[in-house]
Amino acid sequence: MGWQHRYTQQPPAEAQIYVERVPVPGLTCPSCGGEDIRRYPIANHFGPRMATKCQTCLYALAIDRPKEEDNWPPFRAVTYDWEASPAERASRELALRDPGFAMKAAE
Amino acid sequence: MDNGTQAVMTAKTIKSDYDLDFVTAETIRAGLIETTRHMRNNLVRSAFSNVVRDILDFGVAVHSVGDEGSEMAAITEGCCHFAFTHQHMTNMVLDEWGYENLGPGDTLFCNDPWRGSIHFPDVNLFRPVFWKDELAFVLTDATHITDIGGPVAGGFNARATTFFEEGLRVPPTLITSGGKPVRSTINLLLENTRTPFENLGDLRALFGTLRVGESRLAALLERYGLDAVKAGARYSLDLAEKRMRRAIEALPDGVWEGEEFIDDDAIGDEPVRLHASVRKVGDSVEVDYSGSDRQPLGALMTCWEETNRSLIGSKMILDPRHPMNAGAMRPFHVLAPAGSVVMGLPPASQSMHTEVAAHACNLMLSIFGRMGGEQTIAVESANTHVHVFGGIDSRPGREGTPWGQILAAGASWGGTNTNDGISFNITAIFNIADNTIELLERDNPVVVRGRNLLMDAAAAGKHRSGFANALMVECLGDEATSSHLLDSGRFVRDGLDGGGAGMTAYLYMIKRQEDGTVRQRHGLVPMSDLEPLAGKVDSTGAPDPEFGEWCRDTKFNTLKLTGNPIKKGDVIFVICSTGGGCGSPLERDPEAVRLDVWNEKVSPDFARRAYGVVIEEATSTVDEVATKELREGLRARESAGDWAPPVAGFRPWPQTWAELERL
Repeated sequence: MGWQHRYTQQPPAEAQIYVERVPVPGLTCPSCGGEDIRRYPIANHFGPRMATKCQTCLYALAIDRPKEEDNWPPFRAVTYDWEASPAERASRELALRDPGFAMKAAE
Repeated sequence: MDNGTQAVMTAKTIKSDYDLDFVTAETIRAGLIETTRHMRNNLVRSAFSNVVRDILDFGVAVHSVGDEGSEMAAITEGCCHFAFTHQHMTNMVLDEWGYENLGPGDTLFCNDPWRGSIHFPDVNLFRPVFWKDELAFVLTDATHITDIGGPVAGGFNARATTFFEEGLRVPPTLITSGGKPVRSTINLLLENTRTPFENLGDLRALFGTLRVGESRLAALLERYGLDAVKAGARYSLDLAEKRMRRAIEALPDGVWEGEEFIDDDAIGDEPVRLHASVRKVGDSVEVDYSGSDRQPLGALMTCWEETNRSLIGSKMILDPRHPMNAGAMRPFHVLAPAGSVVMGLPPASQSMHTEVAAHACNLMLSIFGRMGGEQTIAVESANTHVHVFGGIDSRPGREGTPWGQILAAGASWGGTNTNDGISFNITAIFNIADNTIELLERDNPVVVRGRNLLMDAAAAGKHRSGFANALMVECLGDEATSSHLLDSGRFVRDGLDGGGAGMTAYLYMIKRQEDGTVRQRHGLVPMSDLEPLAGKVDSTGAPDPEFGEWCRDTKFNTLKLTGNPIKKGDVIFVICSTGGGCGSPLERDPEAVRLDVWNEKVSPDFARRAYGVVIEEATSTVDEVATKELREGLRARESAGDWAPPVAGFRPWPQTWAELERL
């Protein structure tokens, strides 16, 4: 999907919607020995993450930040990985040049 | 010691894990909470909008920055869901902007639900706090502002099918830089909204609130040093996590499922279903909203928030007393399928998100309430019960002035296993304050004709539900509109453990008398004085939550009205749904039923039908013999499957004033 399609997505055709838990073959759960390991999008306390979890005991083998191809969360700005402009970093740059700037900005 | 009283930490473990003595750790924990309390006090005193200063629709928080992101170490909220949304929103916004791009005195603004915000009118500010050149904390504050532009004053547009019809969507944007307001951002916000005066006042209040937070946090850092305060924040987060995990561990392992229905999406006529399964293993929980309906065409969906704020329901059941912070969210993983009612895709509209929120929270409340913990609570109103009126003022001296106000009224909480449900309390997901009516009437051309208790509206139970406020609001402006955030009119709110179901919600117009008066008794208005707008009604248009037909011959087919035109003298009558009862009403103490009858909360007829209690009306005493006989008969019928507690609601609804006077 092109980046622009994230801005105007089509609603699904199915009446009820399910999270797809994608099997990850070749892994064994270190906690219970289960072999049904799946990867799927979750929200943990930090926010959007991809979880690789044992479906027998819910042990998390991995909790990763989503990659662009994970489409999680469903919306991501095209500028997400762009370099910040000088205007957006103006205060940071001032602070780097002038160690006392933090105090001045707080006054 | 048993599991309920065993300490989750000791002074020795606190010293070894955080290098803090117990008193210092607790002092820093309290200091972080106190920082947010100072922020709250400043915001409430300085905000311009009634939605902030009266209704308390805001949240303020301190986040500790770590390797993985920010964790909300302390929060004080006026509106409950901010205590959960701030955590995700802060991480989503700052991950995108980049911590490395923020400098001292910078503040980011964002109101985008796809980045963790709630809806466009909720504006969120994020401010990094540097200590000796290190970005150590982030302060956030958020409020609902009166207007954010778009086609409908107040931002709740039930007719929207895309977010383009809602108002301004603002991605992460600098609103202060180096301690100075960014003029272009301020102008963008003021020139695209209907209430620039109030909005600028609110933005300045938010700026000031962040400064207050910075100063309180600096005092804490000055006194204890950065390492100790960061350790205190970790202690605070870990303590909340351990308490939550202990409560989860006490539940049996297993899978529980549940569902909730929203009346409609305000465009089509179909109900919208939320479904969730909760799987608990050890001290962790996975909540999965799979099986929920796809996002509807109308604005009844949400797009991130339910991954965090629906956990209010589990917090209420598992650890209701401990101050909220992100630690309490660590044991939970939430799955929300993209394209469903709880994870809508852009450009869908979630303008009426509040009803989804109320039902999602109730879904968690009902599921966790069935998992075998010590505390159980029946579901509550699941109803926003917020009403937005606006227009152009025609009062002398104010002619031509745009006005808009948000009127929040109390709903009904469900009965618990130990007590009756709370009355006149806004749905748990928000739990905001009612308006101060005098201020509302001073600032806007409206008069609240009544904010009443409706007789028989509370669900029956050993512990009955609370009562909700029925509202009568008169418009004094020549031309105005009303919008209503109202649901649970089509499906009753179920009781728990044999408790009865609550009353459904309604909208009516009241026909005033020739002398301009409005007639009501016990909160009831005779049907002769009512014009039904929407609700589950009988053949006369009167409320009938149990046997009525949804929107039979009513003016509208939904309770979710937007921009409903009203004129001077019109009176809107809103009946809010009530929560469920807990436990069989046949087990309720007859004396408690007698007191409810004496206080005109319950009619003698409902006392007999729902509770099996016979009241001698002449002496206001319980007829114990007749009560015993009646209850035995009802229990026998209940065992035979021939009786269940009746749905709450006065029946039959009085048709004329004469009938009402005879009650």
